[in-house]
Amino acid sequence: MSPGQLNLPAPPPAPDPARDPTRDPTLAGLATYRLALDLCPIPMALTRPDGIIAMTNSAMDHLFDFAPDELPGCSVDRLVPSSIRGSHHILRAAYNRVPTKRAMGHGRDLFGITRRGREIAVEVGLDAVDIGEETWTLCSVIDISERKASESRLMAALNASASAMILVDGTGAIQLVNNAACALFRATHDTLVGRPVEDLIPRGSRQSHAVYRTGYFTKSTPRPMCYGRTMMACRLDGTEVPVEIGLAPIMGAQGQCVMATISDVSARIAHDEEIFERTEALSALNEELTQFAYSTSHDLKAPLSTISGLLEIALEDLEAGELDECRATLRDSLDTSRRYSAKVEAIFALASAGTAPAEVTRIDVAAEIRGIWARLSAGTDRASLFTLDCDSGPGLRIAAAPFRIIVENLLSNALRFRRPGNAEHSVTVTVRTGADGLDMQVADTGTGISEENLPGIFGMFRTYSPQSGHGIGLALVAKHIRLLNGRIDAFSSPDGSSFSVWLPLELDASEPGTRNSGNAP
Amino acid sequence: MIPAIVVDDVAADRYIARRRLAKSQAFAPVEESPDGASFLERFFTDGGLTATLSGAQSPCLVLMDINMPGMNGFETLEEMQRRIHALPGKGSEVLVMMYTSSDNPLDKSRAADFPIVRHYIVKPLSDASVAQIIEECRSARLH
Repeated sequence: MSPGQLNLPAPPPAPDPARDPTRDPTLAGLATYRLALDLCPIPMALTRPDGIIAMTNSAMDHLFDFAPDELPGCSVDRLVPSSIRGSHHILRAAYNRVPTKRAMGHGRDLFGITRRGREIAVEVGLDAVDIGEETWTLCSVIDISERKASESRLMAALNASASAMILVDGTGAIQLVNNAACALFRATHDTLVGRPVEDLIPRGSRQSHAVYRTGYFTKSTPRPMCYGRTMMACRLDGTEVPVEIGLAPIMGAQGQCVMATISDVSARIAHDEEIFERTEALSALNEELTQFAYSTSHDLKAPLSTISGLLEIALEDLEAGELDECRATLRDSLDTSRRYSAKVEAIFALASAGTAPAEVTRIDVAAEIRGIWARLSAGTDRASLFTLDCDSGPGLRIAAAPFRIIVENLLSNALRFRRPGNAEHSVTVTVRTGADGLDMQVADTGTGISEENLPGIFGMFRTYSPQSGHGIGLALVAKHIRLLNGRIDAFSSPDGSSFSVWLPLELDASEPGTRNSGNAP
Repeated sequence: MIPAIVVDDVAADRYIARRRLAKSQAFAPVEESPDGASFLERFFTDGGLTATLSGAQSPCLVLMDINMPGMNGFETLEEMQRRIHALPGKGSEVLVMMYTSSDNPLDKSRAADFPIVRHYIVKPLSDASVAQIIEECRSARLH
């Protein structure tokens, strides 16, 4: 069979003029339907049980581009698209077994095919009618092409939206979703449409949502859901996503519906949380700086208060003629001012550390450490055992000035924090030169550092015992090591404390250079 | 006479306080502690300062520095309060005044949270401050 040719059953026999319609119920019924079809503006056709079209009206002929009287005698299969024409007789047979009045193809898009082969979207109503002893089918066909085109344009517009949109009817069933809604809920149109909207609500809120939804339908105005508060939506896989939802009532073909516009705000919330955390961190930093300013202010002010108090007393002693007392008080005042001067210099050293590039030069590490120890230990009246185990030869390229400051402060502490009454006090320095850095350990058998104080020892003005100095030395050490991209760790045990330092070495350059990892204040 | 103890790690500040208190001739004995731990030990050890104070008619004045190595002034006061609570009737025998060069509002606020702290004195100790201390101690006479 070539395209366009149909193998149709023979047309029904022409009415016998001899038959009297008034006595033949079949002919009487057909005449009635003929009249009804001619009067009906809706395209209609009457088909026999075998699918042969018995009659059509002009609207039907016009819809399918057939000439009057061209369709009668043809199979109704002629009007369905070729894709389902081969199986249409099965559907007809099924209908014939239970011929009830209903819409054809419920839930599916139906198409008819015109004489010229053009597909048109249609809705088809089927009604069983008794013609004589047979049950025929009265088909009404409505052209919904324009409506489908409108729906298509609407869907295109909805799909162009970045926001998820869901149309819900009065029963709470989802009638329509756009692509963004499918993406948000990680589902297809088919899995979402027809589903209760409560499936998209977190399980604990579903019952209350059904109540709210019913309430909204009774008095619906456009408004944000939850009045702008962020709420959680639930995907079909159970995961939840924070959303903001706008509601708008829509009167649709299915009656009152509500269009919910849903925005995924997880990115915004994450951004807000990030901003909040940054603000909190900045606030904490600001508070820390404020306290640092107070701490610095106090540490700078305290010696001045002492000097001021001593000078007042010295003046009183002078006026009272107590010259020895006056002299002693002035000496105390002088000592305090000298210590204060040393403290100010230490603070300045800390503040200026790293402001200028540290010069990298070749130094004899062992000789440097021995020299620093000799100078420091000369100022004490109690002997300490000093051991240096250094594997590096002379000419190691390192940022010399910071290295000296680090060694000097660590050795100064090791010397100072000795156990009271402990005759034996030893300080051991171990240096190991690696491929790209220098490991140095400074250990002593002194008082050690308590566990609670250990984390804070590199902070400024941290003093934990009467042997403490200005509370700046370790802060200075830590700052230099940080600027050199090195590391320092402190350990303590009942046997004493130790500091482990790693510093990078300059290995490849033959000429002195500079190393500065930054000019942080 | 008002018994007093100065808790301060700076010897010159202890000397200044001692001289100022002595000038008023209202304080005796005047003790010194260079840190919080030694103060607590002297104050609460049997036969120590508490015994000295047992016959005093005036509560003991404690001038407490804040920034000290080891236990700072606040940590010392916390421990002091804890021990006082364990000794019923001992709390009224002590008047603590912070004696510090810190004018940090946080320090002032924290000091105010201690029921036994009466005043916050910023160094150096002046004659006017001493007069105020005497007034405070006399208004809190024990006998």
